[in-house]
Amino acid sequence: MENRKILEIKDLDISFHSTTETVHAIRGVDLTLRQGETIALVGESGSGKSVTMKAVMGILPEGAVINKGSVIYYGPDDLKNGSGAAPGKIGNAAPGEEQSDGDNGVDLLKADKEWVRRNMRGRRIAMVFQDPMTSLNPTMTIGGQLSLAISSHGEEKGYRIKERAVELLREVGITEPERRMKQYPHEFSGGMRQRIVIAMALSCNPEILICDEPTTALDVTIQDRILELIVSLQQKLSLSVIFITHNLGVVAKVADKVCVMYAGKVVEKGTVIDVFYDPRHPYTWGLLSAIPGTGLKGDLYSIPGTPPYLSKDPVGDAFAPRNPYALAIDFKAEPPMFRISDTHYAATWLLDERAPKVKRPAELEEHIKEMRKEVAEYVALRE
Amino acid sequence: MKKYMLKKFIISIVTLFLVVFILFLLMELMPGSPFNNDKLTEDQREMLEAAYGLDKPVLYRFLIYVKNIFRGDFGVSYNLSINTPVSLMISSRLPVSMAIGLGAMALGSVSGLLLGFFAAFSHAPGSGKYGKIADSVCMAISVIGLSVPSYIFAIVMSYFCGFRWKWLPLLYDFRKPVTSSLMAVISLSIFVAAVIARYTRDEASAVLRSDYVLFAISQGLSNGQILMKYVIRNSLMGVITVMTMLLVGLLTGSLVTERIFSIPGIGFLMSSAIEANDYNVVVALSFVFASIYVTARLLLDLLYGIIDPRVRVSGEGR
Repeated sequence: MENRKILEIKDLDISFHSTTETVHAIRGVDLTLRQGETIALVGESGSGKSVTMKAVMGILPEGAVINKGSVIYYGPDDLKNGSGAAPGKIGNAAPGEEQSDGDNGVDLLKADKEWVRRNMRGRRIAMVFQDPMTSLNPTMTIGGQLSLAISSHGEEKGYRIKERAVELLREVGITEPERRMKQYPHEFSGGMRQRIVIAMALSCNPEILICDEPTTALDVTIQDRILELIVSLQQKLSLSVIFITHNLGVVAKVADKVCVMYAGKVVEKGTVIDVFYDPRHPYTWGLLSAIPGTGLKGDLYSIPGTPPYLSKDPVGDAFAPRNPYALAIDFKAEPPMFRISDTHYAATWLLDERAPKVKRPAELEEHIKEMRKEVAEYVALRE
Repeated sequence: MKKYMLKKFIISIVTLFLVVFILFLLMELMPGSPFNNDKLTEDQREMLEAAYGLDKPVLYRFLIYVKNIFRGDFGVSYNLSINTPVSLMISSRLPVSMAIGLGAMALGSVSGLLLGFFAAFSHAPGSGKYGKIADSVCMAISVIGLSVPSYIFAIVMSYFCGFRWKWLPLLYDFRKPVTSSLMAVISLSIFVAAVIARYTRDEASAVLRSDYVLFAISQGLSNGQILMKYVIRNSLMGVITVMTMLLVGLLTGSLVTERIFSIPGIGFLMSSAIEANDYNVVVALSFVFASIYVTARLLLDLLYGIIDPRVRVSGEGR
């Protein structure tokens, strides 16, 4: 039933070094993306969503050090045979271990940088950033930037480059593409610019599209349009999408699976249905309660406190100090990932068999009921 | 764009007119007179003033002066070389100063830009330890260039290259204008290079850390493509502003450097004219300096328009 794996992040661990301190930002993240699906990466600012994805792209900022872990890309067969040597190939330790998913995985963290640039960035994995106002080169025409992106991997040549640029602009919903090619970024609105950024990201037909909060910087009225565009492009081009957001509200509209991150770790993951119908981690409860909805009365809920500053590794569960349901053990030991179903996992001691049975707050249950209808609609719409 | 340039042009003309007016008034307010000579009697002084028209009211003289400017006539020198037209004095010296200034500017810009871009790329994200060292070396060179006055370089160079090793002529020579002004050009260009290197490095490293460069990297563009299509153009805006200011400083001549190599330029003329209270020369030279400045600003605005499409469309200067 499930498609083949296309990207697998294993036990990724990243810290940031500055002259005064070390911040342990990513503390063992696992994530598997399958062909054609959309995973939403959810969490507060600073939970490590963007850093994880920048590590996948190989564009971590200065001072970032990858302590351990791997990012494995499973390509189509031509990667193994066609593109010459794929350095850093998996299987040094135990060849054959990865056989089940094909043995053509490449660890992007160990691969040669120039090889990654030529074969991965833009060509197989592309990224759309948060702020379209600053994502485009202000002194180059849209057409020029698109053409550069198209020709960067030598997929198209000569007059075909321009044709492809026009085609891409039309695909993302820019009217009069021929005329607008000659215009500069400042002549476009934010929503239009994000469309152009998406067109550029898709210019070399990548298999994986990473969207880093693509609607956060946009007008509320435009946000839905961009989401619709991403969903429709995903279906049309059978893209695999990782969608970073801190807004659970948009998740139901776009994602198949949800990964909730907190303080550099994945605390709950499952399908959209799993997480929206039956959330298990108290942090997820908090996030869901914070979605404005019709069912919720009174003030909008917000999770008390702030996320920990990771200059020291937290003792026990990082969420414990903010968790009204925290158990004594939460302050002593870090919870493992508990399996709830084949698709649903959460890292909270509440799922231990010895833990007292804690019910979700009644208000949240109400809220979940409200959202169910919505979520069901979106899920049905996509299938 | 045309409207924008026309507006800038009119503003420039008005600025120049105001400059002349203020200069004229200031000169009027200055104590003393070109004929401050104890040997002159009161009658003789009045005769001289009448001969040069200095007995007329200020406003009347100003209008005549402005009228004459349009014919390229800046009056005659009262003192330095009596009765020589000022325009002649300036026109024989201006090209020398300008040639040296332009030479220093060209040399300084090229080396400054190279040094700046090299430093910016050396300390770009992901460049490692050696990049940081290279950047520090570049910036140390720049600090030396900024803090050591150009005449020190001039003196050191004239001692070694001119006196000890006899590679280049010690003093300016009309017959060998290029080789004899080379040392002046180099010593003046060091400061220019240092300033430009500093600005280029800061601007370029800001561009290298911008979102659009990150996006370009995420698309797999090569370093060369990012340098050519992204970094150079976007970092030039700030650098060009500094370049114009430096150019104006150079074109108006350098007093000390011109003295060291005894170059017959306008910096030298200006200082002598001020000492001798030679009104017409001072006002005319100030007018020339102001014109150079205004022209440079005008060219700068034009360049902004060419480099940054935002200026071109919106028509708003920076």
